[in-house]
Amino acid sequence: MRRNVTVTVLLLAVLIIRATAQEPVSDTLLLKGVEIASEKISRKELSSFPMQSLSGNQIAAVAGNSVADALRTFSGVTLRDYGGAGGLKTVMVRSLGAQHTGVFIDGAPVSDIASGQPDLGKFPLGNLEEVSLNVGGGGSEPMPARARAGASIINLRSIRPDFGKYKTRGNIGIKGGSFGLFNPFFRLDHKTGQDSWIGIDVNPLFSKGDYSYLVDNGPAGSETLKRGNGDLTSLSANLRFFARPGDSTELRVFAGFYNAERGLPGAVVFYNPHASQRLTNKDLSLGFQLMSEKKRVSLLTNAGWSYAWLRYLDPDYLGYTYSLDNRYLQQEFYLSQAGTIALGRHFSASLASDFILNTFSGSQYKTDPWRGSFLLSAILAHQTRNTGAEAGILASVIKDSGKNSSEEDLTHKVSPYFSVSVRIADVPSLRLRMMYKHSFRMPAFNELYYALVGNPRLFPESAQQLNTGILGSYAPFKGVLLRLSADAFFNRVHNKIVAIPTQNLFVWSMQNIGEVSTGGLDFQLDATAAMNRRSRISVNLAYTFQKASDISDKNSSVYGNQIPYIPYETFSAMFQFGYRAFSLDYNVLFNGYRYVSAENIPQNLLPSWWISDAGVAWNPEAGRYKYRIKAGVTNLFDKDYVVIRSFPMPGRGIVVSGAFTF
Amino acid sequence: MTVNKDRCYIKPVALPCRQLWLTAMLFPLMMLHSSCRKEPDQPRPQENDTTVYSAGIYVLNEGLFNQNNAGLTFYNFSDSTAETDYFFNKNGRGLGDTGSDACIYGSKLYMVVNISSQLEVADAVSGVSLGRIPLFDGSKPRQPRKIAPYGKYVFVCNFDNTVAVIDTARLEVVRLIEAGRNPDGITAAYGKIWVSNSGGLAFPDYDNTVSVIDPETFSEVSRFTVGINPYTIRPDGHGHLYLISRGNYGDVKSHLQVMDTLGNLVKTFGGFEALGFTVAGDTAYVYNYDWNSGKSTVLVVNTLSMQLVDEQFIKDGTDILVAYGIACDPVTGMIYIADALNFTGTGRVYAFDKTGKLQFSFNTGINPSYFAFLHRTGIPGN
Repeated sequence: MRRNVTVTVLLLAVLIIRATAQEPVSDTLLLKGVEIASEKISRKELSSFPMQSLSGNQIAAVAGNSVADALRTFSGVTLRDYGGAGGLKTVMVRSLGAQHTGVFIDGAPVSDIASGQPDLGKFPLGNLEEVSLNVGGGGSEPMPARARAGASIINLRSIRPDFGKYKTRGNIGIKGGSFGLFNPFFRLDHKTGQDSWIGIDVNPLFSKGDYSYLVDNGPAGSETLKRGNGDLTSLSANLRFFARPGDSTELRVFAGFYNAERGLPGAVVFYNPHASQRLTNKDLSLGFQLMSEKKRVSLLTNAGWSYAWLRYLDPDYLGYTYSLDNRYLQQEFYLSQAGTIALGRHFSASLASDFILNTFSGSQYKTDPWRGSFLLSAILAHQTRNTGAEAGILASVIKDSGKNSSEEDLTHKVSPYFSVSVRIADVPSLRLRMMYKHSFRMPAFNELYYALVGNPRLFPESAQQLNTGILGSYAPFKGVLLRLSADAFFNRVHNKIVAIPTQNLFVWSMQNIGEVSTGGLDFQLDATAAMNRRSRISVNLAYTFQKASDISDKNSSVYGNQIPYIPYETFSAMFQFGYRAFSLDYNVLFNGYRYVSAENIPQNLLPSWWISDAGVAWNPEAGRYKYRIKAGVTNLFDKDYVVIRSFPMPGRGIVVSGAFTF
Repeated sequence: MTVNKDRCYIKPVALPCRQLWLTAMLFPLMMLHSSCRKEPDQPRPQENDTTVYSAGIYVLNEGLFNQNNAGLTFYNFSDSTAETDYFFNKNGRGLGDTGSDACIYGSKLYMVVNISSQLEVADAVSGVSLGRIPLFDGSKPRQPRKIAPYGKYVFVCNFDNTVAVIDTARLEVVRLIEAGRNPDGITAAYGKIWVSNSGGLAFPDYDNTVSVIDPETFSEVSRFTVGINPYTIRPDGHGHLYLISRGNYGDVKSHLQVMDTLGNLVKTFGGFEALGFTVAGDTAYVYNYDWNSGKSTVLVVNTLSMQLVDEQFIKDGTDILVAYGIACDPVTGMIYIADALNFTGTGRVYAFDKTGKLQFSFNTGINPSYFAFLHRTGIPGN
């Protein structure tokens, strides 16, 4: 009871600050696209924690339809991808499990309480202006406490219309390609007043996913087959309203809808290519955001609701005479208040508090659980021209309804965060940075409650991250800019939640028995050159080395081995060359060898792979109209490769798209 | 040990007298491992020396679900070496996904591959494949689980509630018999085929019956009630059948039970849990792996008195981490125990003599579980 009172008081304090801060916003909020981009660059350079982003042209150069395809070009990212447009996709950052990475769209959280990370294949790339990844997720601007809770944060920023002198802007296009891909898209934004607009976008996607793959079964058993049951039909639609009721205030209201029906292609099983399982999603989300900024105080309020319905159908399940038909419904309600106050010229303090309520019901669950979370974060930041420092804590109080006893159902944690950066040279600009972060992730509902597998006695999995690095930028000539960053990182995961078999191989249970120690290096090099007014070239390189050792049990034969699915090395390169309205892209991805289980023996080895994508685009402008025609080849050299064992990825494919902006 | 050289075509129900003693002793083991029966249509070549000896041990490794790494390990007695990936090396292709039973019957080695939904048949001596029998209902996999040979056939129980009858000469499915839900154990004994219906895929609504199939009429003749989620079932040679009922992995534990041929549940052993067993002579060797304590145990039960006679079969302190399979070689009398170790990598097999002392051991593939003994006639090494 006493705890509840304290919590309420803390939230009230934050709300009161919000109520007293309705003052004019400075011009910094009115930045146009170009200025935002340049501000981004400087943020990246100043950042005391590792930060990567793709925006504008770079997003257009990514081969693929979803955010997952953009994220895999980042350093430190390991994508789990089951193949094809319909395959589920999640990312692990610096060898931490996917559940440690939070996902935000325009500052609003997207969650999946059942599995821990939403399917990143859900989010179409076409609508986005920027995709960024922050390791550590610091920063002195106001943001929800939840954005400070994850070990790393994916931020997606949707395109904000540039009306210019027009009242209505829009974009219509179509994309088609191999494996039955057909993807028309449409977007319309309309000014409803001097400082308000409304926008809608609709993005249906159809894919057969019937690509050829190699069944690699020795000299006598190998054959090439077509992937079956890999089709996807999805519709993503969003409605946005934006208004600036006062000079200092911005209001956004958002409604998102996602509906998908797909086949699950199943693992490649020798001699048995049959797959018939289906997955249906119906998601709806509503969001409300109020932002205000004045000289000393900036405030951000977020409130929202999301509803996600999932149906898993296995018509051939042998447990019953009828199909296996499981349905799950999860809902989330959240309320977040954040504020930043400037304290003198060099200091600022940020405070944020979030209330989150998650509910879940599902036919395969032992219970209909809910989880209530209260998060409170406080950050003190110091910034001068030459130094930057942040120190913060996050306090979390989380109640799980489905646990066995009242002792287990309440989790409270205090997680510290600390970062510092120092400029050591001006030309070339060089900065040193260091960051420490403690974070944890709650067990996902599947891990706690799912049928036989779930274990309600699980406690949170914690992660500590230490990062130290150097950032540099240099402009050797006019129009040429080089940016380099090199970071060394060390992670430690305690109480890692892992599935282990219990009664037999088909009965697994989740246990908090894992310990992982990771050491790694990250390098990024971005170079852009505008050779003359007509041609430009840009190169982005990212390389990661990581040794993620299983140190759970000293006496185990797997002690010190690389943990499953984490490659020692990953590399990506994006080359872009533009001449007038033409542009040429060439992307390379490399994933080093890795193991599918903690026993690092040849039988568990997945070989490394290189794949390349190439594209050519014509992008002319005529007054208010813009055209874009693009032809691309994915997996140019038709490599057979897998990301997840037994789930082959598509070979060479062609994608052609055309878009018209008005 | 010697046997008559022309002992070939005998059905267990009609035995010449002179072989009765041997058959009575070996019958359960033959049914269990089906390792010393010739197939009717392929008479064994005449040999001068009639000594039966163990030439090798096949170990079928389950592998891991959806990883296509079921494997066959062959332990060769002539040079005391174990070759993992034996099937792949001989055939240039893998067995497939999730091995779930194996036996030698006549000159053939049969391997049930559950998720690939195949019965792989190989020459027992050379390991070279003779054919692969797909077990599908249209395009839908039947998911074969366990195998029992009888007469001219092998009987394979499938998770789709059927028992497939496979002609051993033509190597094709000739009949399908309806059984209970998700059968997960089968044995041939007392002139019948006994199928344990687990209902294991219908958690928490398990089945708890044993189907009795007449191998002459290919039909189910009766169905008896046992404990829930029944699994391995074997005869003891004294008119009883021993079986494991695995319970619900929760409050109902996994127990060893005894039923008679009329379907009466004669005994449920209390005081210990059991995951698997093998019967040799008048002894059942029963193993368990307790997840909570992480301990494996091997107990000895006398099948005549139906009493637990030894709580600790292993006498020399050999530590089995995760007991995962057990079998007795009827020719040598050795007891083999498979250890899954960490479930994801190399496993191990330990060979014990009857007094529970370790004789030798060897490495296997992932999750070793099923055994078939290669017996040959003549002088070892020829």
